[in-house]
Amino acid sequence: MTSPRALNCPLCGGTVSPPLSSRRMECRYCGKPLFYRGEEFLPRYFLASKLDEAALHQACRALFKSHYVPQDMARRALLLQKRRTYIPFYLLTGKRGGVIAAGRERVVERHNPLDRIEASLAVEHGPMQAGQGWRLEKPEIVTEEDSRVVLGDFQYLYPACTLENLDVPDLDLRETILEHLSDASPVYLVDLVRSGDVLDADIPLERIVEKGVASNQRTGELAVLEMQTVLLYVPLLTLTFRYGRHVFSVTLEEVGGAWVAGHLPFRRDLAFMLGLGLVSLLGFFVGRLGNALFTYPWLAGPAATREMDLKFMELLFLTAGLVMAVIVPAGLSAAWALVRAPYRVRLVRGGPRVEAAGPIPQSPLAPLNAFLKWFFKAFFDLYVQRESGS
Amino acid sequence: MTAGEKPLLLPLTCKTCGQELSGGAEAFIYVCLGCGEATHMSVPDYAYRLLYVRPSPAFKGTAIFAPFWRIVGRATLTVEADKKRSAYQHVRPLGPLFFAAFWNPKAVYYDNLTLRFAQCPEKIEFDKRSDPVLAGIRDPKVLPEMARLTWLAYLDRFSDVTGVDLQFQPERLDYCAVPFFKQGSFYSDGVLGIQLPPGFFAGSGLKS
Repeated sequence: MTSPRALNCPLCGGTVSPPLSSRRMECRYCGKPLFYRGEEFLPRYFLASKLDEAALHQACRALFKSHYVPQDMARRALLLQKRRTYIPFYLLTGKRGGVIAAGRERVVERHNPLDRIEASLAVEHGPMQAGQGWRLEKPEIVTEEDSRVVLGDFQYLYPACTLENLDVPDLDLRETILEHLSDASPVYLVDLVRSGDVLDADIPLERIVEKGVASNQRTGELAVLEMQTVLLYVPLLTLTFRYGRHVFSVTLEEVGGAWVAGHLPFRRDLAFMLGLGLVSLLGFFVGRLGNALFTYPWLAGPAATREMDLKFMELLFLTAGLVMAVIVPAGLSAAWALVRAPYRVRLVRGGPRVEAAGPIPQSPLAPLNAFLKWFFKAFFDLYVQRESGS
Repeated sequence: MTAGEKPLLLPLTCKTCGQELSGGAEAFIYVCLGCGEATHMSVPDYAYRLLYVRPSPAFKGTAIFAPFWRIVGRATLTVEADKKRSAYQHVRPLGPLFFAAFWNPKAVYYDNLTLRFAQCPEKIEFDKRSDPVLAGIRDPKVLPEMARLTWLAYLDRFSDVTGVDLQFQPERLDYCAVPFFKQGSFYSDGVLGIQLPPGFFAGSGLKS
C-alpha cells in the first residue's frame, strides 16, 4: 500500500504533506486541525527507557566485573560512543470469540435392578466369588453435548524489522516487552527521532497478519472480532568502548535493563593460567606414574619373581605409554589452544559466554603429536607382531 | 481524489457548533465537548451521544474519564429443550453493556467491568459534564456480536448453551465517559469501586 505524496486541506484547499507521526495534524495554511484516515497509518507507542545515568553506570560496572573479561576493564575501558536505537514491533491485540461445540465426558454407572438383590445376598452369605455367574456392569463413559462461549483476547508481538543484522535475540526481547507492556505510552515519531535512531518497519504488516494471526486461528469456530495493530518501539542502547587496542560494542535493552548483544575482549591471563594449570597437572601425572613404575617393590624382589613380573611390567609400560601418548599431546594442545585461540566474550541473555572469534591456530606441537602417534603405532604393531610370532 | 473515493483528510471541527473536536494523538474517536457528541472517524458524518457517568459521592478527588461504548439492545432467546428454558427463566437480564473504547494491550482487564456494570444498571446514572476524555479507538461495528457473545457467556453460567439460539438486536449506542479514581497505587472505577489491575490505562499515557 502506498501513501499519497500530498493531500489537500478540506477547509482551505492548501497542500499538506501526509502525516508521519500522528493521524492528527494541522493545516499549515489555515491552522485548522485535521484527521488523516489513510489505512496504512498505524498508531505508535513506545516503552520508555528505565535506566538513568546512575543505573547505566552500575550496569556497565556489573558487566565488567565478569570473570571472563580483563580485571582492569572497569578502570581502563573508555566509552567512545553511546547510541540509542528504537526497534519497531507490531503489537496486534484484539478480541476473538465464538461458541465452541465441545463434548463433555461423563462416567455413568448403570444400576442393574438385580444390584439390590445382590447386595442383600452379599450381606447374608458374604460377597459372591468370581465366576459364580452374576454379571457386573462396568461404568460407561458417555460423551454429552457441551458448548463453550469464548470471548477472549489475543495478543501477538512480532518484530517489524529484520533483527538478524543487529544480532539481537528476538525471543528474549519479546519476552521482556510483554512483561512491560503496561508501561507503553503513545509517542510521536518526531519525539523518538530526537532521542535516538528509529528503525523502519520494513516487514509488511500483511505478512504478519497472515502468518501470525490467521494461522493461529482455530478453524471455523473462533472468529477474530476486532484487531488493533500498533507499532511499539523498544529502545536499545549500544555502547562502544575502547580497551587497549580492542574496540568493542555492547547492547543493552533499556526496558528490563539486560545486556542483549555484543562482544567483550576475553581475559588472556585466565586462559594462560588455565593452560599453565593443565600443563602442570600433566607433568605431575607423568612424574607420579613414572615414579610408581620405576620404584615398585618387584624390582628389588628375588630373580624368579622379577622374571615373572617382567612380562607384566612390559605390558604395564606399554599401556602407560599409550595413555601418555594420547593424554600428553592432547593436554599440551589444549593448553596451547587456551593461550593462543582468539577468544572473546559474547553477551547473551543468560550472561557472558566465551566463544572462539576465529579459527584456532595450529599448535607447534602438531609435528610432535604426529611423530608420537606414528611412534606408538609402530611400537604397538611391533609388539603385536612379536607376541603373535612367539 | 475521484468522486467515489473517501477523503483522506477530515476537518476536526464539530459540524454543529464549529468547535474543535478533542481526542488524543492516537484517537480514532473525537468528541465535541460543547455539543456532547462523539464521532468515529470511519463514519465521520454520524455522531453518537456523549454521556458522562456520574461518579459515586463515595469517591473523592479528580476523576479520569475513560471512554466506553454503551450498547443497549434486545436479546431474544430461542431454547429448544424445556429443561433449559426453565434454567434460564430466573436469570436476571443484563442491562446496557459497556465495552472499553480505548486501547489497552491487555483487553481482558475490562471484561470484568462489562459484566459487573451490566448486572447493576440501576447504579449507573448520568451527569452533565464537559471533562476531557481519554483517546478512544474501538470501532463500534463489532459491538453487537460482542454483546451477543457476552449474553451467551452469561447464560452459560446457568446452563450449557448447546442448542440455544440468541439474537441481539442493538437499539441504542452511546459513547460513555466512565469516571475512574486513583486510590493509592491503583485505579478503581467511580461507580462500583472495582479495583483495576496495574496497566489498565496503559496506552493512554496514564500510569497506573
